Amino acid sequence: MTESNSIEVSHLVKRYGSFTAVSDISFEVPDGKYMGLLGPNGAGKSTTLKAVTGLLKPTSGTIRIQGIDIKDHRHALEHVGCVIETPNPYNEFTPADFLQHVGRIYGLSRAEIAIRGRDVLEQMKLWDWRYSKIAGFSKGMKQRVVIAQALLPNPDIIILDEPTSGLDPRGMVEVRDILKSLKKKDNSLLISTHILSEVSELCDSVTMIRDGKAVISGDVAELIGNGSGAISLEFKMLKSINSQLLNDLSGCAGVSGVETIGDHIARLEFRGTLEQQAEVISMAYGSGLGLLSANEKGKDLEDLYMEMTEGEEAS
Amino acid sequence: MSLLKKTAVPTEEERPRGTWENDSTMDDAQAHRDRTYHIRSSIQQTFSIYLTQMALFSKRKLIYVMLIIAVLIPIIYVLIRDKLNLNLGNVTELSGSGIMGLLLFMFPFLLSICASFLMGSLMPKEFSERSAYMNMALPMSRWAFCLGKYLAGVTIIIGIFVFAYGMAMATAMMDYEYFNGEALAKSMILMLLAILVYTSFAFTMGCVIGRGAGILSFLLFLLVLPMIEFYLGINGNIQMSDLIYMPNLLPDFTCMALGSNGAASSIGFINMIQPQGIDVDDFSMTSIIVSVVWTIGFLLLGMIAVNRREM
Repeated sequence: MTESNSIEVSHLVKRYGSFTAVSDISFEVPDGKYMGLLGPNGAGKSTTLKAVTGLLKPTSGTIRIQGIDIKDHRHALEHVGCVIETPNPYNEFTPADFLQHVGRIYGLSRAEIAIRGRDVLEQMKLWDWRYSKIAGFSKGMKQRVVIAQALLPNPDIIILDEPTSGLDPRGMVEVRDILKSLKKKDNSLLISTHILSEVSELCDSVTMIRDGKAVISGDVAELIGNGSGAISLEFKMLKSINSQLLNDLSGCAGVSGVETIGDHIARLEFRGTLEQQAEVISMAYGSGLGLLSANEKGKDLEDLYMEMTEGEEAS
Repeated sequence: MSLLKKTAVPTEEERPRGTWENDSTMDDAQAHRDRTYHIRSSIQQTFSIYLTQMALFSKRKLIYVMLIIAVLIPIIYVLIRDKLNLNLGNVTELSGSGIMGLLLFMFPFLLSICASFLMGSLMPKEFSERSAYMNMALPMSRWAFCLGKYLAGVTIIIGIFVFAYGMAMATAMMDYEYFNGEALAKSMILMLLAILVYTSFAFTMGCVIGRGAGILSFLLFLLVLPMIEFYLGINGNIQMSDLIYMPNLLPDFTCMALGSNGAASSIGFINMIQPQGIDVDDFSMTSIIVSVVWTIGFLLLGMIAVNRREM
């Protein structure tokens, strides 16, 4: 175990009878880094997170949190805040009561709970509801209470299973902003989600799971930027694009394909160096057709996700 | 959301940052926002769960219904006072403690209801309402979680029945001065043992079978087990005197110890089997140890079930 990993999952396998929910998954979440688990429904994301938080026992494999085996559940989760399977806070309680309960388990004093509780309730826009019964809350508000409890002890590691489900668009953005702000404090995050933009906005690395197996794993920037080496260049021209320009662009080094979208837009598949890219743009600029804009679009997580789930759609 | 009662929002000047209330003065430095905390011992965590469960119990209606029933004891006594010497009592000893036994004739029935429905629902409620997914992912052992909840339940039920005892005693004191101290002490011990055994059984049923545990343990303890024991006893398969070790009969013995034989059992099983050789005086230290073993055994079974449970 290296000291620089907050979470280490090694060869995790979880079987229910003859059904294998998770098959030999391994990944690490380094200190201060955010990692996303992506995958379609039933891929094994929640099972993986449940195993990481000790809610279920792995059939085989090891899980270490801050170097401590999850079998020592109490100590392994000492500095972890988590939200798994959209749990419900006690309906009979108010958010203030609920945070008291969680804070006491983490070993926070009454005063610390009050102060940190106020911090997280304000972050979650629940401060004005602190003495209202949770029973009357909407699903989104309950979800925010649960996220608040995960953040209450200011944990080193945060594990979230689809944390923005049930939130309205504004709530989703707010939760994402909070998670982004935690990054500045060197917290580590393991998050499972369906929302691809959440991963590309928040995470440093991603593991895509399908049928219980990790199919793609790596740095988000590498995967969406340079993974295939291909980017798309899009030129918008003032005048109609003619065949001369298309021929010139096709002949440029690094250009592997050209297509037009309407009369004024040309889209190029480009696999070259930055210098070659500059030459292509100069070519378009010097065509005399009036270059209005030049946009670069890399392969994004959505493309990767769609590729990964393609077979599934077919079946 | 609009139906919720929103608390008044104080201005920034009115409320110092980082406090529940406006009159608190702790600042950020005192708040230890960045301090590394350490979880408490398992015993302290058990106590935390205990406090949480007590707070949850304070919102349960059944608790207050039971307390109201206890408050009704003097009223019932006043209503039946004139008929006591006719046929209601079958009281062996005309004393304060004997009258207490009579007044507590519903104890076995009410204990069954209270233990079954309060304790039998403790763990199933955690799973059905999904709060278990939060609690069991906290840095706390499942043993501590279960034990804290169980102890809170036992405390509440002991509280209710000690209150009922107090009410019965106060009522009996209206007309009787003499109380059999030995009978009272024996009855109290039996009551505590009855509560421990019943609660641990119902709690374990909840841990093992989940929903429906309340009604099942109620029927088992109050109806099914006594019938089986009675059947076996009548047919000579077991000695009647051995029934003293059976956990389900403890509430009946509690009333019997006070000298109220006939009215002791709410459904009359003790009345049927008592003349054939079972005597509360047989209750000894061995019987107490057996009852404690039943309690620990049931409790361990339930905790093991929760500990092995995959979520």
